[in-house]
Amino acid sequence: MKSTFRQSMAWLHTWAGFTFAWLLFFIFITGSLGYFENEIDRWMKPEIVVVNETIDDVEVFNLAKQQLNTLASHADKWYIAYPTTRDPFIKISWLALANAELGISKQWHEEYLDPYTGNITPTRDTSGGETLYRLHYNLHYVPIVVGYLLTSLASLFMLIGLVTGVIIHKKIFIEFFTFRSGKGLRSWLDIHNVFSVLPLPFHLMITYSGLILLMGISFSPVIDATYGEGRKLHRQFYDVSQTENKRFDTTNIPAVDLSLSTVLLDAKQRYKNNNISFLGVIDRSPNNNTEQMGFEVWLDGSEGIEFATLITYRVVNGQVQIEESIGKKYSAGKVYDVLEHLHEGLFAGPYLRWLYFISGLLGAAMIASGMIIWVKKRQKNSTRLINLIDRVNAAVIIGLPIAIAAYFWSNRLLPLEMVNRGAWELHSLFIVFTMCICFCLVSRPAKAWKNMLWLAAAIYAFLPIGNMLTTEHSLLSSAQEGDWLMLGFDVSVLVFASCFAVAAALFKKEHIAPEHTSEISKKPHPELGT
Amino acid sequence: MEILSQISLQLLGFTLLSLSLSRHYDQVINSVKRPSKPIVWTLRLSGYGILLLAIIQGIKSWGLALGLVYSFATATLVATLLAMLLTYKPHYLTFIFVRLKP
Amino acid sequence: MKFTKKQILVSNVTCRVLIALVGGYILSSLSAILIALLLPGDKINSIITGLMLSFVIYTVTVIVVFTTKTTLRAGAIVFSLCTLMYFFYHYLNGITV
Repeated sequence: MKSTFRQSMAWLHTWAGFTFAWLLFFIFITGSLGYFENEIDRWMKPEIVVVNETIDDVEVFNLAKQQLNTLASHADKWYIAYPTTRDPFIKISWLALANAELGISKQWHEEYLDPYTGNITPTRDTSGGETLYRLHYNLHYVPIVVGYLLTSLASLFMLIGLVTGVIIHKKIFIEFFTFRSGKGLRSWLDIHNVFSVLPLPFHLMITYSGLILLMGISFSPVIDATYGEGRKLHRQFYDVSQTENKRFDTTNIPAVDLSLSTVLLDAKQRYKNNNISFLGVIDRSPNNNTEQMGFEVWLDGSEGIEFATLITYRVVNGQVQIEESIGKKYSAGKVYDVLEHLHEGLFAGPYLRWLYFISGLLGAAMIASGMIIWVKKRQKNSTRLINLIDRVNAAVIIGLPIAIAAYFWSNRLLPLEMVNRGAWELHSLFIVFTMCICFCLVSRPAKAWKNMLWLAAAIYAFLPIGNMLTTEHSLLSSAQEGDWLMLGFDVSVLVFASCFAVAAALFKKEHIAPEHTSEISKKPHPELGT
Repeated sequence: MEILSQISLQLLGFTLLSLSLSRHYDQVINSVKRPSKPIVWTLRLSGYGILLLAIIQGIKSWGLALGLVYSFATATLVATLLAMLLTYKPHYLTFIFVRLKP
Repeated sequence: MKFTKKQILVSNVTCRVLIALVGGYILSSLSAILIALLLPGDKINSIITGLMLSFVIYTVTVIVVFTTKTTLRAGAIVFSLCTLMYFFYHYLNGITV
């Protein structure tokens, strides 16, 4: 492409990064929020009653079973989620089968229990943390396959950007810790390096594993050619590749006595060191025939980067048998599994979870700083196009956080009885995002950046106050009640607000430099022939 | 506790490594003199050594897979912190040098 | 008709992008298929391995396409590799079927 290898690589780095930068920024931000999916979910369902003291497992079970019996006697699957540190509440969920007579389609239902009364706590209709994190690969408004393909393509560009970035960065070791502030473009390049090089293992891991998670869709012709064509065979391929190695054991529970309560007691005895996170009944039959039912116990705190261990109790030949999954059968499947676990980070405790989140944000910051550099390098011949891109940069880089704050605000402000409330929360995210873009398009870039930063600071700073006014949760009450998730969310939001405020305050100083260069740039530039 | 020792080991290791680079050496001890070769090599080797120790400690306390995740994640945190420290408050790091100097 | 320097550059870049993206996709798919067929052991295992490596091959292809001296040569490299692999795949299929 260019005369030397390094120059070609620099060219590729610039344009591979540029092409999908906005989409990648979106993916990194929403994906990072996914690491706090449960915590965000709790905030968006403020009605949930949090369990503070330890409740006896059997007691939880009794409460849950009572509700499930009345609400979901015909369901195919039952699950009881036990209070854990990340989800300190009791949740029951069930899979209602399709019923043609009543016109119901197959659907999951979930409800939260008040541990003190045993009643269902009605929660607001919300999209919650899950929908927010799913944005990072389904892109919401497009058909799901298009979302998958677009994110895959963007990730491929990201991978190319990372590899070429490492190649062109001559002094990767010498400038490992280098950040020279207040030097215009030099500082931006430094900060781009800091954001890229220091979390490089994370960036490479997250990009590559992201690609691999979607490889069945992006490289489906390969499965066509090697395994077989058609949806059914693809499904079969996934199922076979996910085959788990199983360990079998027999119990001395009499087959007639097999029920969730006996399973619970047996599991508690067998795995004394592990906490139970889920109890489930699968393949339920309405007439309570235990012959074919399976009883699942999910254990917390297993080894390594596995998230949980699954044990299933079933009646086999008149005897109750236990089946424990001990990892994937295929070695390539194991590698895939490791990458998937690393990508999702479900195993991470608070410390690692925060680092995952920060690394994700550093990735987003890397993309953002790359975009800013792209503009700054071209500002000398300030054309309309460059100006436009600078504006959209401001709209995307600061607008997206604002839009996400709008998502949180809409959760508190939309009327509770609104139809499709959850969907409208997401609509408000995108409406505000569009508004941010429009706002930036009509104002001068420097002004747009500054105003957006202040707006972001304000919208985040007022979020805890909004929370206090619309629900009974305030910073103080959360601290008193030991509702750490609620408190953590509110405090983090305040931290973000102050970061935006600091950025807005510092912005003026920083922006003198480019203003200066645009003065110079009006003179003819020998190299560009203007 | 394990996390704390992981962080402090890596902080020490990365600080030593950064001091083996003349730019940061100058920032920290405020001189234009280049560090002599033996000093650079002592700093570099001890830096890498301590980082290796940190990784071993990580693997020992969390197992291979999780230990590596912990070490890499901590490295990101520590190195970012250090980069900021070196830019804005380099003299905070002089303590290492005082200790090292006979 | 004479092309300006800019037009040549634009068409050159477009060609390379197409070679890199489309050619790279075909090349990495084909190599994934070949890896799946050639690796000994379980079929599922080899398919997953092939799929996982295809992204590495894709990335390397893109980098090679953009570092080769001329666009023509880049196209020729990718095209010839693809054809070679395609025939090899059919040859292998002839044996296994």
